[in-house]
Amino acid sequence: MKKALLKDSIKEIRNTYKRFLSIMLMAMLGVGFFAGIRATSPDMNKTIDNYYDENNLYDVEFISTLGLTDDDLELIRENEYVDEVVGTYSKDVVAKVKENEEPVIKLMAIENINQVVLVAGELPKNSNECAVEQSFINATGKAIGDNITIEDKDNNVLNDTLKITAIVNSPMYISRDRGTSNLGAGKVNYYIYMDKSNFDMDVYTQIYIKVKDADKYITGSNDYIELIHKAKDSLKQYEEEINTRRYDSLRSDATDEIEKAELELNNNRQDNGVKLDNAQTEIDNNKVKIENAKIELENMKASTYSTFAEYENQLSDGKFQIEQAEIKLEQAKIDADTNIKSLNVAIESIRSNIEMVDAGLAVANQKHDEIFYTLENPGDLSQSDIEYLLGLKIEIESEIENLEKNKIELNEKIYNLEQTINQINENIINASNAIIDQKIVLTQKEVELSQQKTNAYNLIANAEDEISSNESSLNQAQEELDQNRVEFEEKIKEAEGKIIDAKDKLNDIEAPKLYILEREDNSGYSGFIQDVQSVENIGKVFPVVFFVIATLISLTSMTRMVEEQRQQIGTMKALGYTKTQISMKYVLYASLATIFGGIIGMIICFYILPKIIWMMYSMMYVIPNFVIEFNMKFGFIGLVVAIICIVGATIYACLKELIENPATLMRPKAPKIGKRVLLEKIPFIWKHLNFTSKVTVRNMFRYKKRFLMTIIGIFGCTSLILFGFLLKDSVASIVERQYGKIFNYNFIVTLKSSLSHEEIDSASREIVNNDNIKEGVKVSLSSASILANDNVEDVQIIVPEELDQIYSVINFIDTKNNDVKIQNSGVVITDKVASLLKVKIGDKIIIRDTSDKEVEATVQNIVKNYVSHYMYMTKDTYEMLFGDYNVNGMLINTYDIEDNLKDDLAREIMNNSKVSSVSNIDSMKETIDDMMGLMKYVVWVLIVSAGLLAFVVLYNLATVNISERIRELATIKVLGFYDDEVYKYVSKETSILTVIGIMLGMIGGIILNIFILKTCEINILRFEQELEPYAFIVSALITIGFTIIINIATYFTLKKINMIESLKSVE
Amino acid sequence: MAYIEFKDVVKKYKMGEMEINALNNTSFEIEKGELVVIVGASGAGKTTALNILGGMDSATSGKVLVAGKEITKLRGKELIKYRRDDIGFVFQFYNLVQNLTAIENVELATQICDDSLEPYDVMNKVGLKDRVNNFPSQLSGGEQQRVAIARAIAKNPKLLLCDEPTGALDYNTGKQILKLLQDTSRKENMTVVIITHNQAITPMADKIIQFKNGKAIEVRKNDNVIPIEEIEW
Repeated sequence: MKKALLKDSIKEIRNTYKRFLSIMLMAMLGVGFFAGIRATSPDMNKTIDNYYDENNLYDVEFISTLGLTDDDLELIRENEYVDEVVGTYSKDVVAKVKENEEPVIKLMAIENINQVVLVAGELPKNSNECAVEQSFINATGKAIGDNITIEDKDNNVLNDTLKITAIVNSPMYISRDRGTSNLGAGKVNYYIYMDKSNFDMDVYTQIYIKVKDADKYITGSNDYIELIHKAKDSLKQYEEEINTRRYDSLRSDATDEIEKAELELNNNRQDNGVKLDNAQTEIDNNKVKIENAKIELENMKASTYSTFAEYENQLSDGKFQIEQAEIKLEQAKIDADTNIKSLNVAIESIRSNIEMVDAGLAVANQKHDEIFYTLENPGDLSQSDIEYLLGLKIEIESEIENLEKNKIELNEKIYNLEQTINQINENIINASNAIIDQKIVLTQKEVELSQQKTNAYNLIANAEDEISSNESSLNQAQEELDQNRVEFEEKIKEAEGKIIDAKDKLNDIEAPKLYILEREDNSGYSGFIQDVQSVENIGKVFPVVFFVIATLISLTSMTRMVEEQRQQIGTMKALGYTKTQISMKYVLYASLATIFGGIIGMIICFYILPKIIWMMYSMMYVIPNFVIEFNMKFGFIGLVVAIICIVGATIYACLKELIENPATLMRPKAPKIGKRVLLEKIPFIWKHLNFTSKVTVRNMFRYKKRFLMTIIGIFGCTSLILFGFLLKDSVASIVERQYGKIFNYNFIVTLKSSLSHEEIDSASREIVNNDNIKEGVKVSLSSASILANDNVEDVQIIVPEELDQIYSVINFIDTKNNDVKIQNSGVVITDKVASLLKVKIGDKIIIRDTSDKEVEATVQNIVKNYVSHYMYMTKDTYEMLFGDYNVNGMLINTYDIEDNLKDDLAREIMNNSKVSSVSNIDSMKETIDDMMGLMKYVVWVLIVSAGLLAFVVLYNLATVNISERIRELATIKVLGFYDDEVYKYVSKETSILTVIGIMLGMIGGIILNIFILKTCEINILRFEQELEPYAFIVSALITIGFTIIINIATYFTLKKINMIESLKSVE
Repeated sequence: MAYIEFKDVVKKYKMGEMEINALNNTSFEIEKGELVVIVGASGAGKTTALNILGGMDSATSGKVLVAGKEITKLRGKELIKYRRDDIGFVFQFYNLVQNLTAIENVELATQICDDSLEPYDVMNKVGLKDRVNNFPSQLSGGEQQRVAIARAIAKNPKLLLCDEPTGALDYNTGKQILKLLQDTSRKENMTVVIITHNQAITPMADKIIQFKNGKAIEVRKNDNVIPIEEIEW
């Protein structure tokens, strides 16, 4: 290259730096996006590989339904592929966090394999310490140093109160999925690591194996997978031995244990029996003693009572006598009274006699006195009369004497009588005194007796009390003894029951099943690998869009540049420069722009894009230390492609000019000639257009290239944004489609294996007997592989017991939206698996069950499905193909109830002893909903890149448009067009093109969405377009927004057009 | 007071650190209805004067009055309005919009003016009645310049400014164009200013302004106006 040319080229760059920058920007976008997105998937792979290598993650895992032993460990260690082998424990338990919060925890042991990553604190060293995950801390509010209590029904954990000493990340769980559990609602909520010593288990639950040299390969790479499959094939040889040994040892252990238990039971029965009998004898003896004491007491009572009776008799005799005496006394008193009365009468009569005597005396004395007086005074009286008187005196005197004598006698009689009365009275008094005396004696005796009685009664009562208390304690003892006996018998029965159970169990011991798993079987890992695949797929499509646009933009830009320099090119050609030499300037210009842009793009996008994509994924995965590598391969490819596109476009533009001869070139290029457009031939429309519209229509058809480019730019922008929204909606709609339209059930309940038909029936009745459950359909759930056209896909088989019932929990709709009935003529498979296997209705497929048995079946129908693969068939078909049909699960459809009620219901169902697990459809929904969060960012990335694209394209076109029409625009400015009129003059066409572009972009978005859905579709999901009006409106509005921004810029560019400069003569 | 007054106008351009005086205290006057020819060598400042007169450029200092309006004081939209209503411009390279037919090019101007003339009449006046629906590329240079003149006068401007209107045309065609301008000035009493470096055509003007080194060195009224047909050069 000549020096002058080089100088010219560099000057050119300085002068037209805007154009240079825009080409650079396009190259940057193209190369950056290509290299950045393409580099992301290797970066992601490298990151997960580093993470796994650093933490010594297993390559192969052994799990047996009956556990694994040290013997198994030794056996595996011998294998040539095995580098390291570790047997370890894990256990699902329930943690008691709060009253109503009992999350299901997977307890694991800290090992040298699958090392945990310490986030905070110190790893547990003692058996009462543990390490938890961050989300546990977040959800429960616990902190390092707090204690948590766990509950393990099987007592496989020694300390059930654990102190949190650390927060860790487990490489085993990179996604949020913690796996299923047969506890709680059927899902593990958190993992917790403990020191191995806190496990109390006989056998290992897992054996982890590191395969020799596996770390040398990137995990998930073909080399790695090949090596691991070889190792797995080789390890498979131990399956038989491990299973048989474990089965035999379990059986013999169980038998030994039963025998031991029986022996113990018998001993126990004897020992305790004798003890109980002895106790009974003692009680019986005591009973006899008490009986004797009772008799003695009775005797004592009897003698005491008889003594008292005698006393009482005596007393009552005494009383009787007293009474008799009293009666007699009364009688005597009466008699005495009578006597006294008669005596008093006698006395009275005597007294009246005495009175009469007294009266005779008085008469006699008077006569005596009269005679004595007359005698003394004898006067007149004759002696005869005297003598007579004397004689009469003597007579009277004698009479008086008699009378006196009589009176004395009478008084004597009275005295005697009175004496008698007194005597009588005295007698009576004496008699009553005697009675009183007797009474006193008697009363004294009575008091004495009652005293004695009281004493005696007290004595007796005490004795009775003693006896009864002895008796009651004896009864108590008896009761206790009886109870002990009952308990003893119960215990014996229980023990017997246990032995019977153990015997039953012994018979039930199923042959163990050994699973040899690899990393691919870890749900987090397999999800991650699928996501990496999606990123890789997007990386294949996305940058193409940018490359195409970059090429077109560069083509327009460079063509314009070459056109602007026609005269110079002509001059140079005239001076004798070769085409190559002349082109060199433009090629150099374009190349420099591309290389600079490309390298800047690489530097930015190698760092930024993987980082952004990783950021999105890191919300779903816990994987630290993202590895960003400067991936030269992709950078180089991107750059080369960009150079081919952009420089190619430049060369094309140069050659187009260079074929003309110098003279033509030196003349200004004739402006594009005006032409009538087709529309003008339709006067009906044309006449009704106003002037500027007509101009606009003409202009649009005049600059066809720009017309196309604008449309493509807007189209690209709209498509990308619309695609973003559609993709989000389409992915989001899967949940609704699968769990709203296809599956009507809310829970899948799996029943324990080895239940009898009766038990299954009763279990299903028990489960369905709940107010919240609408229906429960008994099904057989199993998995199998389908082989067809050299492809293999895993499916889940659902076979209803009652065919009619299945239609109420699963909707069978074929691809043409017709209802499908399952018939005996074959099997019904879901659409995605059908398309993966490339089978149609009527094709034959091979079904391989879990025991590797292969049968052939016809595809009876294909039904719509969105998540996972299923195969349905009738019970008859199943029996025909596989033999025995057993119900092992139920599909439960609840009424419309709240989520917490559903959780309760799940727990309730889980409590049924015959249920082995319950999985809640809602939790599956949540997992998928988590992906939606991601899609939000995808939409943002798309909007930003679409915006960038729109800016670059529209800005470029606007610039080219203005520069190409600068004279025309200057002219109309001179004519006196106001700024906004000038703007309208130009932008009207842009607006129309924008509208066309947007409309085409809508279609483009739909197509892009279909395309991306097909490319990125995860194996087990089927996406379907979801067209929501808002997506179209919003993407159109965003595009319009971008155009408006560009138009504002255009407005100011137009305003700045210098009329004078532009109108100067054509150079 | 004259119809157009150009008073002590200075126009300075900055070229990096250098300052160039395109117009250096230039003054002249033009009466209404006059046909003025401005002559001078390249770089004498005649185009600058025309641009300032046409409201496409602003003066650094000085005063320009058109029909009593001080256009040196107009800013932004006022200046555009001035161009729109008062000025008709004819360019050396016609500056027709290629995408519009002849009549449409005229309409481009008339549609923004209030008291514009009927485009067909104007086309008739410039003698292109039959070519109205032709695109510029289908017209000869003279015809294109006629369209350009039609576009300028259709606005019914106060002032018709022509910057080397014959510069790109051959002798005869040029003559026809100048005749058209002269006729327009006469018939419509239009004030026309023509810039040219061709001294030969000055006799057709009512007034001749001679430019040199950014100054109007001579403003001369031509009492003996000769019709363009009679001028030979």
